Amino acid sequence: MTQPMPLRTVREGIELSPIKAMELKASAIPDVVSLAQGIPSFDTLDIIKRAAIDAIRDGKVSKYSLSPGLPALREAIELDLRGDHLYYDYSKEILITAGSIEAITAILLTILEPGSEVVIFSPSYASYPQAVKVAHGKVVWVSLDEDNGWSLNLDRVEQAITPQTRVILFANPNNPTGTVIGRDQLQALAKLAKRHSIYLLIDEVYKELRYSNQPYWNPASDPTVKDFIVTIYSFSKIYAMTGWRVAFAAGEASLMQEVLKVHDALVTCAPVVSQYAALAALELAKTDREDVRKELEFRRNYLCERLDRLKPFFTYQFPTASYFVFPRYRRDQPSVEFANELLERAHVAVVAGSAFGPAGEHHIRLCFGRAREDIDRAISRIASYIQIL
Amino acid sequence: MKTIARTILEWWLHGCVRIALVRFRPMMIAIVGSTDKTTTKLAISAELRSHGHRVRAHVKSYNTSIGLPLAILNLESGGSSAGQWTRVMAAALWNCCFDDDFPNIIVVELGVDHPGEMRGLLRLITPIICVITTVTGEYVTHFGDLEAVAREFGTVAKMVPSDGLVVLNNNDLRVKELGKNGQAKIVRIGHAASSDAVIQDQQSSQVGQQWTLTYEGKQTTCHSIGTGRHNQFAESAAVVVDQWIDRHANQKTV
Repeated sequence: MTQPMPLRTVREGIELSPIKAMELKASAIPDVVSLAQGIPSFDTLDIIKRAAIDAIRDGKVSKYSLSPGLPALREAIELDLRGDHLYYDYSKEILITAGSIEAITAILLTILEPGSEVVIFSPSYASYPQAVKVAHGKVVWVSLDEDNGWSLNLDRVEQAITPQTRVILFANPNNPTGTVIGRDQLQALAKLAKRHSIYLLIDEVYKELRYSNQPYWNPASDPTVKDFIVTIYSFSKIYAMTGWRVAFAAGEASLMQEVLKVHDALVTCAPVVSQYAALAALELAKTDREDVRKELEFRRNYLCERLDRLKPFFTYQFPTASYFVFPRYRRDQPSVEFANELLERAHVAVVAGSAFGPAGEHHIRLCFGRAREDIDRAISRIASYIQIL
Repeated sequence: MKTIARTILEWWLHGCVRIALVRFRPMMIAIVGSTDKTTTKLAISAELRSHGHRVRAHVKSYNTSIGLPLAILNLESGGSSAGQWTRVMAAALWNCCFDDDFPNIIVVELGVDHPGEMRGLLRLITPIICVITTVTGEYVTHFGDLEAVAREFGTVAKMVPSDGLVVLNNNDLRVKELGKNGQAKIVRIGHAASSDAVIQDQQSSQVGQQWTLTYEGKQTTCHSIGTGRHNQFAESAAVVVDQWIDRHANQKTV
């Protein structure tokens, strides 16, 4: 009997993101409290929803937009980025995408050839390795130093670079550690990228969720290295728009014009209704961002206080950004097993640390973007559970 | 109910704008086009401010029947809150009567989604200067085709009085043809040698770009921190508008 051809995804071990796999598993169990997926508990602001509804009523969203996105949105983004000393020509260098992971995948598909290597810091966002594999690349992990606040060792990065390396991909602020790479190290990374003619792909989806006074800086504001940097931004987190699937990438024109071809092949254009919502977010909802940030800061402090009471079972680096805490647990058990146990016995969904790379083993990721009551219930259940271990 | 509230709000804000325009008599500069309106507005307002003019250009792209009065009176949207809108209406009344900082020049964007809307906006203001940026497919939905969009934008150029100025983007094939039946002086800015103000010798610099603008026999070196042709047009339009205002002011003095 003739069999279908073996599938590449199976052969090459491309998996559903462990985060989404955990959410799927959790959804099948009644009364589970989830701190797993990075979803803010807030609803999208009314002013954004109304702009989207107006655009629908006005018949603006029923057709494709231009592949790179609505010119008005891209122009608004160009002007917004100027505030961070980032200067891009929206007509050639800014691309609206269907979420940040589409941007990352399209960029990797553009740059990588079979066997190309991508340096990823460990721990890092769980979907990066899958995106690299989809783009026929190979992941090279560089561990962050947990004992020094999950800091980056530049020597280790340089040692990881080979003639096959094409990209260094990382999130800043980082998911799951909630730490921010400072200006000096970013400058050094950018110079390293230039020296080796590789790209720095910086995922800044948590840029607006910073709780310390550490100033924001992106190396693309330095014109001597700008051509080697592509930055990804998202409307999902700070504007509570995860379901709208709208983000954007900014990079040098000759690369972005090639990325546009892949983006066009993948999705044609980002959802047009979401692009109008994103435009409203940029133009009308900036002041509301501070309320969201303050509430998340409160939740972070609350979750960390509760975790402090569970020492020494849990120890963690205090996150200064994002909406995650990444505690290490004191038990000789793989994180996938521990996370499954928490789900099945304590009815709390968390993400196993190993999903974020080898250095994430023996950790779990907790999201404090969830509602206060959920955080409270989840930690109480975890506390009760570890007391009986 | 919402329609009634909106009508009352619009009537109130338009009334306040009319009072302010009679009382303070600012020079109105209108930026029209499918794209690049905000970039051009910011470039012109920055150029005029750098030469000592008191200029208002709202940071947001308020450009509709409700947004335009907010831009002129320097107010923020009330969002979805009836209470906020009540405060906006009170502030509008105050600003149109007692705003000590009311500027000499206001740069506004005019935006339309439907045929005929531009005439509604022009019942509120009469620009002495109009800058038309581009005609693209972004807001074509209710117009049928791009020619209809261009005609809508062209109504602004026609409304500019004979002692006014119309600045057109000569790089845009539809925009360059606008304003032919108007009374005001027309300046077409573009990269073609046939432009009235020619952009040439463009170079990327470490910080943005620079080029030479040749206009009325005079060469000006222009800089823009932003990259791309739209920034070249915006900054060049700012130079042309600034020169016209200087000359206009001198003529009035004479």
